[in-house]
Amino acid sequence: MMKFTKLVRNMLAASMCLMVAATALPGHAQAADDFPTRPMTYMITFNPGGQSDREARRQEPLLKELLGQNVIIDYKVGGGGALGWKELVTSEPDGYTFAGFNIPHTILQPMLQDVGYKTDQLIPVCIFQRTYLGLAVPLDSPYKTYEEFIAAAKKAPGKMKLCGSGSLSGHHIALLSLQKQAGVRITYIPETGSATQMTGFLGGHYDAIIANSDDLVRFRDKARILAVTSAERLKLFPDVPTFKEKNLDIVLSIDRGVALPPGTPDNVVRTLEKAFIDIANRPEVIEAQTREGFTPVAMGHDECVSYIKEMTKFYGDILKNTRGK
Amino acid sequence: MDFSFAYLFNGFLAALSPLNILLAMVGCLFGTLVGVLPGIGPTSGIAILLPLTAQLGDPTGSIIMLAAIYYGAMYGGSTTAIMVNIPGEASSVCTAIDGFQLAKQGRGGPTLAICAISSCVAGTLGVIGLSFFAPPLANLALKFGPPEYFSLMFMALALIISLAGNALLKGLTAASFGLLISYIGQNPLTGTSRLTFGSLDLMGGIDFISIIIGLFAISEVFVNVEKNTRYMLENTKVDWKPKWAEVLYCRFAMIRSAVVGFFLGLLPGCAPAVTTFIAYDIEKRFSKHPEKFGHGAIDGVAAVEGANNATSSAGFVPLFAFGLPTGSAMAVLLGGFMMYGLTPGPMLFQENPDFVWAIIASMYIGNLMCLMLNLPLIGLWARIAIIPFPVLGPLILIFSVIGAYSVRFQLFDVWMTLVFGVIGYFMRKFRFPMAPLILAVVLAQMMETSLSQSLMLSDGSLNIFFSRPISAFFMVLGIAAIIRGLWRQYKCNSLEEACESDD
Amino acid sequence: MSTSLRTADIISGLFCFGFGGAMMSQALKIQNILDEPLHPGTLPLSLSIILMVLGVALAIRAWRYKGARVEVVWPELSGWINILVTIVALVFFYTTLPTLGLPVSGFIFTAGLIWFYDRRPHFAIPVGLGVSLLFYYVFIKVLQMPYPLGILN
Repeated sequence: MMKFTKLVRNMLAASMCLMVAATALPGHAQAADDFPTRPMTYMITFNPGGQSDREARRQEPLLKELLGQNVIIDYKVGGGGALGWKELVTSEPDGYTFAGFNIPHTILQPMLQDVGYKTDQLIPVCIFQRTYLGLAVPLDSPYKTYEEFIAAAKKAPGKMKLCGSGSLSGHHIALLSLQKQAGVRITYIPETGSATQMTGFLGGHYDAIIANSDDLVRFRDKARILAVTSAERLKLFPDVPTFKEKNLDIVLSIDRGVALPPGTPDNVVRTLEKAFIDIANRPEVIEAQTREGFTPVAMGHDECVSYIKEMTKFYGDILKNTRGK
Repeated sequence: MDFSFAYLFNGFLAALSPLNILLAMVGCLFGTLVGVLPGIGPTSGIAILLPLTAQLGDPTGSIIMLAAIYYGAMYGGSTTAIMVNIPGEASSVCTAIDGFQLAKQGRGGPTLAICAISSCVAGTLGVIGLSFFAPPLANLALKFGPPEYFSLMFMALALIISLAGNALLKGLTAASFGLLISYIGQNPLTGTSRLTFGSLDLMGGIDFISIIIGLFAISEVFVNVEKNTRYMLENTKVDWKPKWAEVLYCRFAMIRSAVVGFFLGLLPGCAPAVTTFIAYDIEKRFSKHPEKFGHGAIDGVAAVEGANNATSSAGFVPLFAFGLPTGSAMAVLLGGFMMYGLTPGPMLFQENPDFVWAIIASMYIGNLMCLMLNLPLIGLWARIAIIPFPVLGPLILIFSVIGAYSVRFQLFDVWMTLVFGVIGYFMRKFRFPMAPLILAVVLAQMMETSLSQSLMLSDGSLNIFFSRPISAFFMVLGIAAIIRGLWRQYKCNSLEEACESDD
Repeated sequence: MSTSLRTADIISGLFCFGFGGAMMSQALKIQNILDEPLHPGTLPLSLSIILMVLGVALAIRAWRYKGARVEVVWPELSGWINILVTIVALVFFYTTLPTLGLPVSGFIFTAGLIWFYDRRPHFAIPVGLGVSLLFYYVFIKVLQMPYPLGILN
């Protein structure tokens, strides 16, 4: 066994040398038919123990089973994920390095400033997890329904304080479109993350909150959810109406998936896509995600590309309106 | 989640099972070791073992172990601060101020022992607070909103004046420098890049572990190699047993710091390191020998370590009660809960009381275990001093640099350690105090974030800090500390020498 | 080489002034896109100004100081060489880390630096090897830390 691993390692070293030699030649994007032949790196751009990390840990053994190679989870943390994605787009496009990516983060960040990568440089493989957002108030709040909440907000423009995580983030954009479509003005107060956001909310320092469905599930006995941003009612909160039912066109979500560097050969994208879709469709994965408050999805490469295009337009339009003020 | 002796008793039964005792011991030992390694703190320690514990399959055992790593790391954190003047994290910066002076006097071993005892006393008092009063305390902690946090940070920032000793101007300069470099990178609220000179690497900010490793570890190596140091401590006694009188002398320091550390540690928005600075300052005011502070005050070291451990116990209150983490290490631990499909909060106490109380009971056992593991280890740590510096220096460098790398896995952070190593070298030569800079770095982001949020809540009015009672209390304390400090400095016009300069 | 603390204070004061100025130039560029009550540039700008003022104050006070000369203790030439070699060793370590990997690069760094300080190989080789094996087996293999493996990959 020892001998065998040594042999494999020597072979790997040799193939590495060959690959280095190959990359020195022009037009190196040779499609490797037998991908993968060595361990792969799954880059996580958020802290260990965070949601992205936990999802990756869930997938790791299954990826190994499906692809026959080890998957090493590597962290590149910082800049709200931007540092990792910046590194991804400059890494070798051979399929051996892929990274978790989040929507709308990878759409909004490059839109707002130079972050070292562009949205379309990330080649999506699969989107496998979705979090819808919910508008909620504390249990002791006087507003029992969405209508009461909006009526109160209309009465006192700018007086109501709503907290979300980050400025010009998914939460903020959701509020911006709510303000525009419902004709209200609410003061948005950003927090630095979902933990601090929920802390402030539970302490009663804000009138309302826009938060991820998985956080709202955890605190469902402390919050009254007034509306959610999904197209249809969520299984977890069957009594909570959607914004769509209230005649507002607010359907947005935070999505997690994996992406590859630009220039990755198509067959490599397809191999990984097949594996990730397979995992996303497994009943135990779907069950676990649902329990944690997520909406399981399984979007392949092509579907992701058109979805990202659609969302880019959506977010772009809202930003244009905001900045035009 | 009401307390009952039956629950606690059952918890002890579960925690005392041979496997769980073994796991707690492994956690304490591993925690102590990662705590000793500079730069690798509880956060990395828990993160490292998180995927491995998942293979255990037993949530109780895994969380017992992960929690043990967390408080175990607090025991180990003081070691390098005392023996080689290298705090591996922000929370042991104050330990180094007096601890290294004591080590130079040949009392490194007894100091480490007192730290371990203080850690155990304060840690256990913290766990008692956790088991008996968690729900009311957790609700109290939530009363802190953005204005309260800002006032608390403001008061903590006023400590710079006392930390700067007789070098006020230099202390303030160092603190302003620290605040300024903390604002490099993305604003935590809006995500806009600031002060980056167009560099994408700086966009992610400078991680404060890199700053600490550079200022303390790398510059410490520089000042030793320049003298061709053979041994870091001339006085290389390996005896570690403290005198009983010393332990008694520190008993009130331990209890006071436990109380301070515990209450501040309850606050989800207050970085754990802040409590150590506040406890150090409070102890200086209560001490019978305040003049010893900065020159080897054993009660100062005991207070810092006690506060540190009480804080780590207190962090479990908001975590268990609401699932809210008080810092990055707790956030990773929360991730561990979620990995098993457990959601901390009131529901957890109702649905899995056996699990929760087993963890709490294990913390009583774990704190004792940490003490019993650490006392014999001190003999070993005290021998660090007898490693010749030509061997010790490179070891310090490689472990601390890799520690800095382990925070975000960015090579950029490693380069920053070198930059701050050079800055730290000149700060030592030009006698700038380091502690105010570190305090400023620890406070900077929380201060700006809470100020910004408070002003949004109040529509731009500063009255919000004075119209809320808790906030007004801290503001008044802070302002009083500033006035007092400035008054004392009024006539002093000598060239400044920082109190912690090493020669 | 000899410097008094007075000169040192003037130098560090001027450095802070310069650094504060550079930061101020950056702080002025920060925009308040969202119209927040606390402009994201307010604190950076005011701190850069405070740093500049403190720097000038430090320099002026040192300039006017007439007391006894306090010496800044600089190392001898051999000390400077030691520091320089340490920096070069760190730079070497950092630059080779991604390509050679932590175990190899760490071995060269530790063994090389110990050999340089100690002038004898009998600590350098075993300690270097020990560190390298510790990182490889304990941190990378057992604990699965994602440290660069470089050529060992």
